[in-house]
Amino acid sequence: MPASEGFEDFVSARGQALQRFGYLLTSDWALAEDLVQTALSRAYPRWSRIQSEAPEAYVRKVMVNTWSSWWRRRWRGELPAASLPDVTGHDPYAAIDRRQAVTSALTSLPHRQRLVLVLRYHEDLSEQQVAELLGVSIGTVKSQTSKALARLRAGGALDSYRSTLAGGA
Amino acid sequence: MDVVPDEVAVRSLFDELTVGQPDAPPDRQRQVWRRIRRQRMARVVAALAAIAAATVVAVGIGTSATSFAPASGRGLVPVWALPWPDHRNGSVPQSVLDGAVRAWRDDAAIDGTPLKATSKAEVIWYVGQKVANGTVVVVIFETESKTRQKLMTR
Repeated sequence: MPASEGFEDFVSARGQALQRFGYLLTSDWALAEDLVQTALSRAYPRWSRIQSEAPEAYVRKVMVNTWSSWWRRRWRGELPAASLPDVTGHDPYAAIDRRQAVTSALTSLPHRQRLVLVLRYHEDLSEQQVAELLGVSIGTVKSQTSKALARLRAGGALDSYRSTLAGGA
Repeated sequence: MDVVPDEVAVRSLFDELTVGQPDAPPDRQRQVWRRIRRQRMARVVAALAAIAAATVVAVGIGTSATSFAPASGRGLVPVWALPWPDHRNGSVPQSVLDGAVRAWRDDAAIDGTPLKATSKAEVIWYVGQKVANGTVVVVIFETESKTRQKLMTR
């Protein structure tokens, strides 16, 4: 099938990275996988066009839009869950506690702030790229980033990372 | 102690959060293809539904404009006509009744639109006769405009 040329390779090569991105949006690995598959299936009909440009950027954008629509439909007003996130068995308790606190802090961020933060600091997109992807101004990206960081800072979510990094430096 | 910028701490936070990522599901490709097929099927069904709906509307419009249905005592009439019998008894000549319709149409309007401009009206007669010892003429007919049917009594 000529239209699918490169599609399966892309899924194999970038699937995990996209799932990580999805997880940071959703805080749920299964939901992240669902999001990835949904985005890939929506990108496929346009594959011949987007393949030569920036397929991953396109898929990422579909993920953001899809997640935003799911969030509006199903998770509006959701409070941070108190349950522990999935962890590997050898994690020490301190790490578990920290991850739980961080996950809660991330989940408590407003939807747009969380998107901006993940796109800026996990996907390493520039402010311009984030603005284009979300369809907002660069000023909005800057202000949302600043607010999100301030919120994480105020909640103490960054403290342990800061001290770990400073100690290691 | 060195000051660690927020951005660096956030990157570190994201890295740690994604450490427990599960292995890629072995059937990811298959699942994606399954979704693609389902979406295609949904599009085909939606297209067929749209075609079916358009066909029904077209047939409905055609039918309402051209088809006839039986009404009591008068054979076939347009489907928009009331199922009432025709009570004209010949006491008023048809030419007079036609003149009454023309006179009504000249000064009538439906929804602000003059009938002369919109209507090739077909007139369905229900009553057209003299009553009260010939002192009163009762006329009831229905006619069609582009927007709706209108029942007229005089």
